[in-house]
Amino acid sequence: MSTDFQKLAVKRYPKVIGRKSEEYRYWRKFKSPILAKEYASVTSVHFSPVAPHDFAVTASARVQIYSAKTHTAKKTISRFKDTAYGATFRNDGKLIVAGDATGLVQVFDVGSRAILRTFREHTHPVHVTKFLPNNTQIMTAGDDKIVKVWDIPSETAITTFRDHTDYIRSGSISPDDPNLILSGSYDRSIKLFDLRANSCVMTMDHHDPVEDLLMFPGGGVVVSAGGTNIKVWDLFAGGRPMQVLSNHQKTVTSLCFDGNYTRLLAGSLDQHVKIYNVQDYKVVHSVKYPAPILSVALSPDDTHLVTGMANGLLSIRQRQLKAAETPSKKDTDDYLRTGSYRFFIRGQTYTGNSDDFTVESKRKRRLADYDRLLKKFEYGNALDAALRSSHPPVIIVSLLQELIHRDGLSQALSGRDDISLEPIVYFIVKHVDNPKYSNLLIDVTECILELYASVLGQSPLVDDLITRLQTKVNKEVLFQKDLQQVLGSIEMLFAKSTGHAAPPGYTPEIPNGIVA
Amino acid sequence: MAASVKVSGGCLNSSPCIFTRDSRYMFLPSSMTVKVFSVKTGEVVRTLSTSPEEGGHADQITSVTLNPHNPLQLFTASLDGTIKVWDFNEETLLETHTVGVPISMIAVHKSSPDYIYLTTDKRSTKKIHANKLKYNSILLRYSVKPVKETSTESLGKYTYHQNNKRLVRMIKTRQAAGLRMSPDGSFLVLAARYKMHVWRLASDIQQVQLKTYMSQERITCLAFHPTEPCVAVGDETGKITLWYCFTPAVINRPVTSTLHWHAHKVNHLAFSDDGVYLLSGGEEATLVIWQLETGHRQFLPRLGAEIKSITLSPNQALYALGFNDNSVKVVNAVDLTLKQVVQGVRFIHNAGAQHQEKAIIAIEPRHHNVVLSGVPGALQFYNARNDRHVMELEVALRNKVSRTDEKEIVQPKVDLFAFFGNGEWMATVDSRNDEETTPELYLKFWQWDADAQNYVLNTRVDHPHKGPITSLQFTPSKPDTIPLAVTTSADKTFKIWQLQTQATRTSTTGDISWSCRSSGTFRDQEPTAASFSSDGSLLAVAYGHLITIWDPYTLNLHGALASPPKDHFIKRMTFLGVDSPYLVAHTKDHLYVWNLLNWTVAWNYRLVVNSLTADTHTPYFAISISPPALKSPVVLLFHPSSPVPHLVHPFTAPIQDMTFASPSQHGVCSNIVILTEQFELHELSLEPSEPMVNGIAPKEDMEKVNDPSRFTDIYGQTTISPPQQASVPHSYPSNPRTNLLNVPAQHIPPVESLFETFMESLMEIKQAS
Repeated sequence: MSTDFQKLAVKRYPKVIGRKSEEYRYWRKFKSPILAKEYASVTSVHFSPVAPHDFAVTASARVQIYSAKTHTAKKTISRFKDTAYGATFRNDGKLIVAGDATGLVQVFDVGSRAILRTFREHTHPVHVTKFLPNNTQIMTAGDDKIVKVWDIPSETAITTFRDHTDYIRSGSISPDDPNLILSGSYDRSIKLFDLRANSCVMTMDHHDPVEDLLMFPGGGVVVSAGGTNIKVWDLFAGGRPMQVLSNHQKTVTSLCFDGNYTRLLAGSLDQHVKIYNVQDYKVVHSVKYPAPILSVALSPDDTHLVTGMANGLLSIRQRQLKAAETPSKKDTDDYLRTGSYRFFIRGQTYTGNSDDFTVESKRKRRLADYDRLLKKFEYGNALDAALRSSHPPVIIVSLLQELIHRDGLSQALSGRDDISLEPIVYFIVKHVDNPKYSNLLIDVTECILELYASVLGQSPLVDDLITRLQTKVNKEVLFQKDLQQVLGSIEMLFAKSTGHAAPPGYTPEIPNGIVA
Repeated sequence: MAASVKVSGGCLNSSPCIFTRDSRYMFLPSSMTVKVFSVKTGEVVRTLSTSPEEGGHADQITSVTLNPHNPLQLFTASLDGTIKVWDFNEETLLETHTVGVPISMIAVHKSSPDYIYLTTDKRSTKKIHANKLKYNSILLRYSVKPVKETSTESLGKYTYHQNNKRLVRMIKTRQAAGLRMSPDGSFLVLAARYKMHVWRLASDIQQVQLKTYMSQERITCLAFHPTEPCVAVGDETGKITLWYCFTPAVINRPVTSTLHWHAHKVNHLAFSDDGVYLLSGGEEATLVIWQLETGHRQFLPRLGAEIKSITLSPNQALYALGFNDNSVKVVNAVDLTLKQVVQGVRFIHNAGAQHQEKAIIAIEPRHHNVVLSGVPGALQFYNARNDRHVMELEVALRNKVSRTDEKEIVQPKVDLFAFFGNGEWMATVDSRNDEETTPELYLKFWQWDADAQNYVLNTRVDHPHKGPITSLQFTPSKPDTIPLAVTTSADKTFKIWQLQTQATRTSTTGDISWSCRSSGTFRDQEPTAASFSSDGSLLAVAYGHLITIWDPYTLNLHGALASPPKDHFIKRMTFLGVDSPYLVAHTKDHLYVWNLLNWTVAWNYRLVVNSLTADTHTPYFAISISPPALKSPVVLLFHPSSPVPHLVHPFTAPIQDMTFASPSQHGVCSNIVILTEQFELHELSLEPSEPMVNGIAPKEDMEKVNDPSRFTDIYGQTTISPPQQASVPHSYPSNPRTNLLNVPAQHIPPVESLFETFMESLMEIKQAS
């Protein structure tokens, strides 16, 4: 009944905010780039929409399907006579479509690599090939300035749009309404076609040859890349430009979204991939690559960042998922086969009804070794236990603070020989110059010196440590003096430069709050 | 104007509680009344004697016991020199025995129905003993029935009191610690310091003092074994000694045995009815259950506070433990689980001289509970309306350990706390300074968690200032403004803290935490108090004798108010509520009310102000003073527009702190909650026309206000300055010279441009006549 033993309150210090934002830490998790060398520049990368999110890489005259697990090409489709472009997966990940420089468009089965359909009406290179959401039609566009929509089963063109006046290098289909098709062309315009009206219903002027197009899931907002600019358009407002982002030095060649459409990634010939927050379109992070980037793609589950470069390099970066982020298997497959392992363990996670009477099992609280000894009031042993095992220094500092609170510091430190005194003095030597701990460690040092001053000089082990401590403290004092001088001169400079503008008595503070 | 007072809180267990015969209710003596609690629900079911007019005690009750002849009756003994007999079912007073001397302990037994044995304490009159709490005790025998004249004569030398023939003096001794009668009623034992006096109680009038035994250590408590002729004695070093000294064989050479676990003094001892177990408790906050036959010990550790008393219920199923933090916990005797907690206003009983730290109170704006810092390191939320403990918040979380040697362990203490807006945020300042190691100082911001119905720590700032923090204030809650808090410190700076949001990857709202926005200094002086105006647009910081007015967002200095003379430092200062342009400040012997519209002192008084509080909902403010002419303090309520107090309320007990409570519907201003030194909460509600309810005559108060001669009698030389007239010398913009000196150097235009104005002000042009 009596209150539980309070575990040692471990101190928490404020995180240094600044250089390393959370965004930075997130994107830094895309680690260990694997570089694969293709024969020619990688013109497009596309991820399969279904797990395990393999990706199709188009380079030279072939399309390669890379495994997301092994990061190696597991299938190669080399059925093109000329350079292939724009291989994309169908929604179910079973078919893939790609065009080539001769105007040939082919649909392959991903599993067998067999050519299923061939479309031969384009006369110039086809850079855009996309499946429509109904899965039975494809949209293609090419350098012959036409956009075509094909029926896959009959291999015939349903519609042809000839509104553009220059090469078409990008296209997109509205995820909201499959009747709406967007295309961006080197004639610097973006056109919206309606399949129901069979005509161009909207034209937006990008002012630069359009390299890539993206559409938000709602279908109302379009992002286009052309020249060094990225523009955001509002379709509902009749194609009104909402934002212009000009953060790149050279032409932006490729755009992609992250899995939940909160970030926009843009790859550019200036060898950077820049990541924008779509809320305010500010650059939150950027990644540098060794060559101009032609294509960039992020897997739908935000684990792989793949960039294709002009010199044929393919960079694959992977982020390890935390356990919390991986979707549990329970959600994915929901039927139970008799005789399977899951069949036999069924019901083990049964939670019961709300009106069931539950017999509570009381879990025993697990105490750390030093906590257990603190509970028994064995202060010296608790300190030894904390020092012995590889606890972070903050635990030992918190323990020392707790001992001071309990008026047990001298009890914990007294009665030691040189062997048992060594770890604590070593700890002090190591951490005394840490501004977070120094106040406390100075108190502890004073206590130690008070206890052992009379026997100093008897053990070379401790004497050596004490000497080291002394030099370290002397060094720190000199360092602090230097810092004070620098601070003084900086203050003088500030006072000069701000003049009367600075409010009296106003000194900006370093934030020192902590989120507990 | 009249005021009605509602009293709550106060000491709950000034002496050990007792159970009714059926173990379903328990009696807790709470200063002048006895409260009857239901063990099952923890609620007060009866209150015996609420006021002396209704027949209650006029002073603190020191001892309660059931009538041995009728378990439906209760004896209460009090310092007012009476023993009262109550029927607690009917809540009626049956009988009053006037003893005439302040009673500290009583002992009664079935076998001697005519006598009540009692002790009375007399403080030593000698100066050297006065502060050491030394006193003499006299053991007396009181006859319940009237004594015949004849027998009194024969006992002439024993009668103690001239007027009270019923009293027979038995012994005078030093500092009695325990008075017990043996279970069969044949022995009476009085323990005092190192001595234990034993009487054999015979049927005749004259009792025989049997023996006096000497103990090695000072005796602190005493308990009789229920079945064996043995008494257990606890002493100051923590030993429990069992004395077998009542049978003829051992009467001269008593047999003793010692039980020792306690490291500090044993506060209370109790035997179970079958004599198998002995319960002891003390400063270690651990209940020790001794199995006497085997010597086996069982512990109930970490009970939270020092154990003051242990009572077993008559059916032996419950232990009621009284603690010195004003709580009683009822423990199931079988599995030692907590059955019921009765928690009063938390404070440490019998605190020694070093604990004279004053508790502070505030009103939590969400539920209008009183928040007070009665025990170190924690805040208690107390519902004064229902007289009920609501919750406790450990500001400095720790395990309570008892000291290892004579020196007290230095506890962290909550120095200041404040609430923001509707209670969304609370800020606390806690510190610990043992004067050996680096002092610790924490500023903590707590956020209200609606799910847990508790405050959850949001931000902890270690060492927010280099020196102790002297005041802590939030801005008033306003939509569309950033919440700010200000701290002033003895390190000569004040800091402004703001709520800031750190956006995370996934959400735009992000984590919120408090961080320092800016810090300000003024003329290398120590700020003593800070206050935000009610609209949050101005910040006043008191520096020595000056009050500086700042813009809290840009830290632009608007100006300084300089009214008190140089060496009169401002102690407290506050803006008044609801867009009032007034600012109240007091120094050690003056009260100033500033009007910020014309930067003048509206009025001032020469008064020694003990505490100052302002209402946030009305412009009223209240001060408490303790005029030397009167013994007791007086609470004064003012409206800033007039120096005539709206209410003068004399008070009986010394005041620790006061604050304005939630607004009442019909009153002119919010109620005032006052914490007395006895930790009673008095809620003063002001009704404009209703007559007084509670004892204090309203007419007299009105006279005090109206009659200036009486008023000056109370406060000595008062200077009632009529508003606007006495304030001429303090007008701020009148003189450019004083104006110059009150502005920091960097605000002053170049000396060249000032020179002429300055010189002109010095050299007045003579009028050509």
